Amino acid sequence: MFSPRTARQFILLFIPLFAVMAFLYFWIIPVYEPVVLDAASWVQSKMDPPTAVGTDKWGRWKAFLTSGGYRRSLDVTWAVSVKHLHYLSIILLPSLVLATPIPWRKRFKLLAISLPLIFVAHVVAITGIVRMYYCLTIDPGDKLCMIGARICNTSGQLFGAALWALLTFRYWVGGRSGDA
Amino acid sequence: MSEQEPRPPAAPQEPWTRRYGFVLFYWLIFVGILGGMAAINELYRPLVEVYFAEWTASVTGSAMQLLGWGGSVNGIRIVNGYCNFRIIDECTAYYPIAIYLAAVMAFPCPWRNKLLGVLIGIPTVIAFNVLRLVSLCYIYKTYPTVFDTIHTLFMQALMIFITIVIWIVWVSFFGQPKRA
Repeated sequence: MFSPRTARQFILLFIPLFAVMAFLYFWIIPVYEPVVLDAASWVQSKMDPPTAVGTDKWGRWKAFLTSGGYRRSLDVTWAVSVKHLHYLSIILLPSLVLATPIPWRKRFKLLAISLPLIFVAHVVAITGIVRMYYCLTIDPGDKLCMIGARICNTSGQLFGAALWALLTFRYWVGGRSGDA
Repeated sequence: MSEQEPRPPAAPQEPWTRRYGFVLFYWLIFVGILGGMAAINELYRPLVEVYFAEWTASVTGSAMQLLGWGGSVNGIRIVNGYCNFRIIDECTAYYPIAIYLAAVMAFPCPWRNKLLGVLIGIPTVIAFNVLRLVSLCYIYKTYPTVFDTIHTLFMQALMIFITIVIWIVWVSFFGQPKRA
């Protein structure tokens, strides 16, 4: 079991890491976002009907129907704040993983595992959100699509914590720092 | 030439299912509770959007009045000399509570300790959320240019971190794992 001392170490280390990640975030996003949106659009191009996601001139996400070689804009745009909420795990997860009180080699190993998972999660969440909203334009009362949209909308906040729990739970439960 | 000592036989490798199976099991409980809480919010919208949001607005408004900011609370709207806020479901502590509850419930320890964690932890999460809203109101008045960034990025991430910290403090003191 982790002691209050290790808990304190975790908190004290998280704060500077969080500050660094928050600073880097504004440099990462302009490079990272087009890659994520392209990947999400590629995934959606394999679906029926094919959809895509891009950004408008204000940087808001915008969804399109792409069937028949043309692009028709769906009547859905997401505010810039929604986008930042989705990408929240870019700040949160590396800070949490690197602050976890286990040997540094393991922290970096977990970080290396978590980065591709963040990317996959963002692609899945953005694909999910577009498909759920498309589904709701067809049937606004579809409960499953409403729940799906809600989960995708909040995934940015919940996913960072959920993934960190998955990656480090073994160490918390095992209770032996670095062992296991 | 010195004679090399024979190497001790390698420890038998733990099977994958034993090493990671229990983590996956508890993580699925964690994710299941998170998904369930998101589904409850969608299936019964007034629970968070009306009742919890109004209660959050009322408590936050009272805290602001204690600070001498005056103003009034009308349903989910807080109006005073510092800010004019509408408390939506994402402004409430619902999702941080979901993360905390899922993490406490998924942690393998006696039920008594879990109950204690819920009884102490949830009010603490709510208190920090009220503190977050009060701080945001202050930032809205004094630093309006950075309000959006602080609102959507830093405060959300900070709230999740605080939730995790409350969980870690609980684990440190009360979370005696069943599995050593």
